[in-house]
Amino acid sequence: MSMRTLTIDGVEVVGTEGQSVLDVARANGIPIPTLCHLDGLPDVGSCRLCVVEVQPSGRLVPACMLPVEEGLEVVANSETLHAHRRQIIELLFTERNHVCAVCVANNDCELQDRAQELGITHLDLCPVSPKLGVDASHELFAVDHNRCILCMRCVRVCAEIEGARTWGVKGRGIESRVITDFDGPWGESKTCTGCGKCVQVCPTGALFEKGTAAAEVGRREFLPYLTTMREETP
Amino acid sequence: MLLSGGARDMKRVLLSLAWLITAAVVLFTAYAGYVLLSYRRIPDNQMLGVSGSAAGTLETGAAYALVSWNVGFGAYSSDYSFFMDGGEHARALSKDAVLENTAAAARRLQALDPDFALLQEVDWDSDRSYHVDQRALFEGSLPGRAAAYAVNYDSAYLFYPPSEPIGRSRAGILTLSRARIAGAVRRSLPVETGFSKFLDLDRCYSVSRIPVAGGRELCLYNLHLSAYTTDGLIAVAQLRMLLDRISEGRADLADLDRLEQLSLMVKRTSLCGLGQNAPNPILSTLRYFREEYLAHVTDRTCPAGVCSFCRVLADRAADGSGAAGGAAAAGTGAGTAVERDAAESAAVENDGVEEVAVA
Repeated sequence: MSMRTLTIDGVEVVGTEGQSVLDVARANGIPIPTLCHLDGLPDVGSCRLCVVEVQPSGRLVPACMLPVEEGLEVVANSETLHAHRRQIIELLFTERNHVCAVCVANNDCELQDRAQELGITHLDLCPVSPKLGVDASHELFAVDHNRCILCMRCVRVCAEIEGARTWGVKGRGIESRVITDFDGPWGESKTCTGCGKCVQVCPTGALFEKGTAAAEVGRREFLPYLTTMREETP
Repeated sequence: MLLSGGARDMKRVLLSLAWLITAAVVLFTAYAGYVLLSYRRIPDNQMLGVSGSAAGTLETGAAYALVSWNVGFGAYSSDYSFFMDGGEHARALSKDAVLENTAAAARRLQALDPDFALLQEVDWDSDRSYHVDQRALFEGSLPGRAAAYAVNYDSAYLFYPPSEPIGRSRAGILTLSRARIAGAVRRSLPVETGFSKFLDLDRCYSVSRIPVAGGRELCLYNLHLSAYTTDGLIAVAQLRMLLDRISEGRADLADLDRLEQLSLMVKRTSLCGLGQNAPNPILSTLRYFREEYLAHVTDRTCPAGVCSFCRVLADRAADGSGAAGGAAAAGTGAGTAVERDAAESAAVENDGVEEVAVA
């Protein structure tokens, strides 16, 4: 295994051939935020959150897709990069309906975490607020396209780990959607094994297990007892 | 003999009936032809003449009083009911009633003494209001104010309802201001399409621009939406147009910064070549035509005469060449032929305004 020496944020670090700049930065405690990256899955660089500046050209490349090279020099944290990252998160928020207060993944959401880490308190741009569907035809799971950020983790885990290749992406740009099989209802998918890996890797509330949302858990079953407990006993 | 006499009578009755029907058909066809031939729509983006004289400009932070009032063509005496609302009449009760109601409305306005009055349904020569010139009455009873009048509709003779036809209607919206109106424009609202467009009246709103101290501007939108639609789709389309046009001129310098930052970010961070190139037109126009962006944002004017919000040309008194410059810039700019025509006619109309103001 051949070693490569490179500089990240002025710090000289060492990586091995085949590693990405992101891997090396993480191993050396240099923070780079990510959203679509997940250890164990092949990277696609779709969320653009981990972009770093390659010196001396200043070109922006996602760290997860940038292989280490001898003498490579990158800037991973600067005011400009942080501004870009905040705008990327803001655009993700405006593109669909990310209202945390009414989301099944509230407080368990990577998009929410990244927004908080980057100090996003409000949106400067008007949300698009599309009216996208929810497919709840599957026995165990449901997909809410309003929450999807198109990170393609579900697509990758289904293809690379489960080997079912149920998930795919249709459309371009703002029209893009994740689909099951040939864009049929998830519940009628011939290839889905019901393993639930896609639900586990989803960073937001787009894919979720049925019966886990607050409205479905039914913790309010206690309420009728409030009156029966106060009834006078003869 | 008796039988044949009866048959002759019958024949005569039938014949006269046939004549009557033929006459009715001919009349109806003639009327339909008249309605079809007289069909036209008032063109959009008319510059409005500003009459009356008002002194001074507005201050920020001061309080001003505004009245908006649909005066109902002076028809609404206490016992009046309009047929479209399930009532009896299509016309006012009498000419005296119109004169009395209009005078009462004018007195009420004098008592309220508002800085701005936005009046709707002000007729100047309609059958339904017995050709009383309400516009002149209102303008005359509120002196010391600038007035901008936009024709809302100028309809053909409407033979409806048959019992009391509305006849020919010429109604408008009147904006009165105690501060000087630098310019005013009439914008046509969308109306019904298809066959029902022949029966639908024109609708509009007017925008009057009033200078405020410190180079700012107050825009008064006087609006008369379509009424009596069954599905409300037209009213929604009209409101949408109004909102779009109001928001059109509302960008500030921070928005310009945001636009540039966003374009740079998309260009630099995009994965795909299309994304990397998409912001280029914005970035290059920001680089080479920044003063045009700034004119839109800070002065609310469009040097090329393309954007509608600036068709009301800014203060002509301060810059006598404003209108001519606008037309010349449009001639060399990227606007379409239609837009050039609009800008040029705007300039011509505005010259007329100045003459009125001088006179």
